[in-house]
Amino acid sequence: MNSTSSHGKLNLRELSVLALMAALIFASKVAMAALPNIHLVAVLLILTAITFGWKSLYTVFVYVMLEGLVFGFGTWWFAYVYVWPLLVVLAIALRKAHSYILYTLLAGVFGILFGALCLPAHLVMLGWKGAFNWWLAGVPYDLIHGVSNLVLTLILLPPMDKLLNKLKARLRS
Amino acid sequence: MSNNKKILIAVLCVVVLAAGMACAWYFGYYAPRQEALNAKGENEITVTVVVTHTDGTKKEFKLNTDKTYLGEALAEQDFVEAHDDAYGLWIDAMDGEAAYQTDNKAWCFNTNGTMGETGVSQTIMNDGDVYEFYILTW
Repeated sequence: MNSTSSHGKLNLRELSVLALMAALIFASKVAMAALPNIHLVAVLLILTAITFGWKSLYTVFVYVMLEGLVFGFGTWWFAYVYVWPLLVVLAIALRKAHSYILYTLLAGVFGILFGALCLPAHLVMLGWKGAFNWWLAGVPYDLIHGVSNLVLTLILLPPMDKLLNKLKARLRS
Repeated sequence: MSNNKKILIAVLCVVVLAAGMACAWYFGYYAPRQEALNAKGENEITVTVVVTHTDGTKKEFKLNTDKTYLGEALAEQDFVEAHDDAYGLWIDAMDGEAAYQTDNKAWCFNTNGTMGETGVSQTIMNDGDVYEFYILTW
């Protein structure tokens, strides 16, 4: 079997790794569910994005589907459909610089602004005033999300990036 | 401009953003709620909880309570089954009818005819308030 994939197409090994990344992201979120807004989703999505580029969109959409299938398709799920892929797109945009500091800042800012990014999805159900109050009430959790993303990305991204790149090199061999 | 300076400016921007959001939360949400709480005191109040079942039937419950938050008052009631999660009280069943997220259902409520903007654990009760609970299906 040809182990190297042509542009945009997945070979079986890449498909397996990308699917496993989605499963890992979901499982890590469930495992850390007791800690409000502290999880590895942003770190792992950024990691997948910088390693696999646009193919990481498969991972993010599989993750979002898993969330909906297990926890139900609420208003929050419609926000997930565009918010998490946005993080992946931004991480891919920063690939050229390949700076762990930039990725860390991206993760931190993304976490802080997570509630604001989810606002459009909640506008439909709650209206302007309700959506704004919903966002305001959740600011402490957004700040926890931002700080935890910052710290976890700073510590975990560099070693995990090296590990995943080794795996990617093996996929090509 | 060197890379270190750019990074420092980016970090400062993040800090300013976080500080701005914290201020917005404090002055726009927390301080007004504390003011309302202090004005309320600890007197007993009466609120009405109306439970609308999926078959259209309604049942009304009058609660005499000295609690501040709706969640605290509901947690004491026999007709409510609920559990605590990281974000506060989550209603599982009211007056014997359950609604679980895994079934794409949840108990929602209006406060005096307007959709609740916060969960039951964050909703401050006032004397005479009417809370209408219904099941939302998606």
